[in-house]
Formats: sequence, C-alpha cells, structure tokens
Amino acid sequence: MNPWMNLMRAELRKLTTTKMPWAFLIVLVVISGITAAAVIFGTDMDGSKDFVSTAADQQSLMAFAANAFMGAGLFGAIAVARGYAHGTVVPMFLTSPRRQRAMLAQLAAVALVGGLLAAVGAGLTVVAVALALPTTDYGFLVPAADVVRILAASGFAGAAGAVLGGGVGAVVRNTGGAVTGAVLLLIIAPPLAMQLASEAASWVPSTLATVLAGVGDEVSTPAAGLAIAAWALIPAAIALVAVQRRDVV
Amino acid sequence: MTATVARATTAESPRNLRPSQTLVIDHVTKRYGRDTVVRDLSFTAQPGRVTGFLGPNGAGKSTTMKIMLDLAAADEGRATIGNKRYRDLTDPTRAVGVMLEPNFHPGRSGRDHLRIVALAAGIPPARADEMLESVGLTVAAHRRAGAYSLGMRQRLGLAAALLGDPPVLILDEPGNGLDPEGIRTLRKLLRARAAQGHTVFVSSHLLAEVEHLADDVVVINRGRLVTAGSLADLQHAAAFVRTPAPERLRDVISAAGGSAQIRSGDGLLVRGMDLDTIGETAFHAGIPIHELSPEAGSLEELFLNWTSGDVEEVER
Repeated sequence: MNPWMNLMRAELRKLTTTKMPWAFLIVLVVISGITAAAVIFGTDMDGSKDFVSTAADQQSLMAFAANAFMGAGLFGAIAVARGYAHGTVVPMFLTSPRRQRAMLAQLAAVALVGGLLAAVGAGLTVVAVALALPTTDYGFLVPAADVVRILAASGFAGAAGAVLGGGVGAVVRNTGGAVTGAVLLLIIAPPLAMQLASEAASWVPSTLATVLAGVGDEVSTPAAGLAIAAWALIPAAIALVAVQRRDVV
Repeated sequence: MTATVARATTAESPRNLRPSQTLVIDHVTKRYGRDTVVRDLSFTAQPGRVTGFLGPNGAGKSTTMKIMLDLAAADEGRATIGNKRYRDLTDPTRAVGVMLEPNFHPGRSGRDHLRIVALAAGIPPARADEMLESVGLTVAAHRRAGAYSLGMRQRLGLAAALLGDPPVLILDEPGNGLDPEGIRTLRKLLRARAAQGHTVFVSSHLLAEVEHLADDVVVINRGRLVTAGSLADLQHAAAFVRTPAPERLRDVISAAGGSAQIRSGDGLLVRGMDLDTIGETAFHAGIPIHELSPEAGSLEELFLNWTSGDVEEVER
C-alpha cells in the first residue's frame, strides 16, 4: 500500500480509537432531539404550526450545513491540536518526516470523519423532523432530492469545517487555544466582517452553508461551494507551511 | 569540538558492521531566541557499539536528539544517520527506532497506539502484538495508556521503537521507571542489538546503568561537548601521583595542558595526560615523584569531574 494510504489509515484509526467522535455523535443526537422537540412543542407567535407547513419551511428546519461547518470546525481543531498536547505528533512525524505529507493525511482524515459526522447529524435531524411531524397537522413534504442535498451539503460543509479547524489546530498547537481560534474564526469574525462591509454577509460560512443546503440564494451554489472550500483551505495552507518550518517540539 | 566516539572495529565487534548506520553530529548549533542550547557540537556513534549520551539537566541532550531526528532544525551544522538526514530516510521506522519521552494519547490503548504507528509505517499490525509480548505488555495491551505506570509507558515506548526492527536505536532515558528486572532485560536487549552490529544511542541519567551498558560515552554540558570516547579508556584516563610538592606539580601540569586535583595531602589525581608525559613534566620541573600509577574511576566520579568545571564557570 502506498505511503499516503498508510498515513490516512493511521490517522483514521487515531480518530476512531478515542472517545471524541462518540462525544460529538452524542451532541448530534441531542441536537436532533432538540429539533424534534421544537417541531412537537414549538409554535408560531399565533400559536399555529405554520413554521412546518411548507416544504421550504421543513427544509429550512433540517438544513444542518451551517451547524455542521461550525461543529466540525471544533472537531478538527480539537483533533489536531490535542496531537500536540499529547505529543502524538512526534511518532507521526517520525514515521513521516516529510511533515506536509503527514499533515495532509491528518487533514484528509479529519475531513472524512468531520464530513461523516456532519452527514450523520443531518440524517438524524431529518429523521427527527420526520418522526415529529405526525404530531402536527403536516406531513413530511421535502422531496427526496432535497433531502439528499441537505445531507450532501452537510457532509461537504462538515468536511470543510473540519479542515478549517484542523488548520487552526496545527497553527495554534494548543487545544484550548485552537478551540478559541476556531470559535473566533467561525462565530466572532463573520458578524464583525458583516459590520465592516455588508456585502460580506453573502460570503460568511453560515450564509454559504444555507445556499449549499438549498435554503438560501445569496450566491450561486458553485460559488458557495468554492467559498466554503476557501474558508477551509486558507488556514490549512498556513498550517502546511507552518508545520514544515517550525520545530515539532 | 569534534570527537569520534567509537572505533569501527574492535576485537569483539561483530563482522557485519554497517557504516551506513553511523550517527554523525557535525558542528551542530541550536539557538532558541538568544539562548544557545547546543554549541558547535560534534560526535559520532558507531554501529556495533552502545553509546551513552550523558549530561546534566538542561545540557542539551534532548535538543540534540531532536535535531538528529529532524524534529528540530539546527541553526548550524547537520546531523546524519548513515550519511542521510532523518527526513531523507526512505523508510524511517525500519531504519531508526526512536523512544523519546512518552507520547501517547491517554485514552488510547497500548495496542491501538502501536497499531497506529504500524499502520502509518506500513508494518503488519500483527507485529504490534509481537512487540507487546516482547516487552511484557500483552496483559495490559487493551488498557488505556493513561492508566499505565511510568515503567509500562517506557516499555510501550520501547515496543514502538522496535516495531520496524531497525538497525539504529535512539533512546532517551529508556531505563526511567523500570524495575530492576526491566532494567536488566533492557540492558540485555540493547547489548544484543549492538552485538548484531546495530547502532544503539542511549541518553540516561542513570550513570551506574550506563556504566554497565555503554561501550562509549558522549558527555555534554551547557550544549558543549565535554568528552567522548570509549568508556573503558576514559575510566582509565586518570593517573595518581604522590609527590612532596603537590601544589607545585598541580600548577606545572595545568600549565602543560592537563588537569590535576590534590587528594589527601601528597596525592594528585591527574587527567588529560598520559603517565609518560606526567613523569617527564615533573622531571623537567625538578619535582620528585614517589608514586605514579593509573587510576580507574567510576562513571559517576568521572561525570561529576567532567561537568563540575562548567558548573563552577557558571557560578563564577
């Protein structure tokens, strides 16, 4: 097997042999439960259930991509930064002294697991809404193609978010600092950017994610995909340069 | 400073020595900000020998080992393993076994830790179980590494270093936390590796252990080479001199480039000069000598001697 595949398999095993993915999965179950509860117990201001009355409303409720981007961002930041905290980057770079190769494999692995978790999160949300809707007067109205789009958008946004978080984690190299950095980048920076320039609102991750999920039209879908990828790839590129230039320990 | 630690061949060295396994530190300097932690350091460690790497805390041992392994970059000079920098090794896990401070995720089992290293290196995962058995960790293999004792972590680190059956071992304090049985097993293992022509480079604070284990030693202090060479030669590199004028002889020897310490009235311990030179130096200075004999010292005694000068220099 080629070295890339070996490194990828090792990185995937790293991610799946700790409790972290399971902790994130539990969070996803909780989020889908909250969504179901919102459908069952929530009402509009007039006491009606109009917020689930159309396919667009239901799709909007199930659009998980923005959450996926942020959640996977935290996942990637923790997954990569804790490698520095626990020193597990040392065996990684000893096995693969061409550090950029090892780092790329690590980013690819967090992207895969982040994307998978995000798709599972979206799937759980869809199931939760589908199970909760019979308690209302409305049926499940979202066409299968749009459900697929929701899942795919979440998977893509999750993978991109995980790469962004991974990049931040590799640059900061401290779990607390990486989480703070990811939060700054994902939650604090976008509103600030929008205040500075209102046009930026179309290009922040949450807007782009809703476009991908089919519930927004601020930019075209391909442009949203590219922009989300850019959000992820810029920190990742900085990390790839940093990891090669800096001492490991 | 340059020193060649070990001879390539000795009477008891194995025949299949591989020069490609020689570790070379060549005029390496490393700075962190304004602190120079390694200064123009040069030495070699040869295949077929166990080389002990000694120095007080903060001497620069760990930094030197990290430079060898390309985990840290030297500001000047270079480190090579078999004429190649670590980063240029095509299959590093099968070329060099490394054990630095424990680097495990506390929530991951010992078996998973080894399997991850094996996967990354393209080594069959079954080898992880073999290594766990060889270091006596099979029973604890499924337990979280965070629950391991220091000795168990050391053994896991050793298992990881041996995973690729490499001809070069670079180990940082491998005896830390091991019980006497573990230390004995480790000593046997490393001696056996050296006997097979492998290069074994071991840093340690356990001087008595190094004394039992090493063929050669490299001693550094404050980032600089203090001494390097065959341990047996170094241990016998001192001479005892009895003279009615110890202070005068000490000054004469110091002026001639040796070092001397007064011992018990009329005795002097002289280093850095062979017996003939000591005799001739005393003769030319007109100092009578009543006794001149080789003096063997323990490694601990030697180590304190080698490193105390620099400590005094710092204190001054």
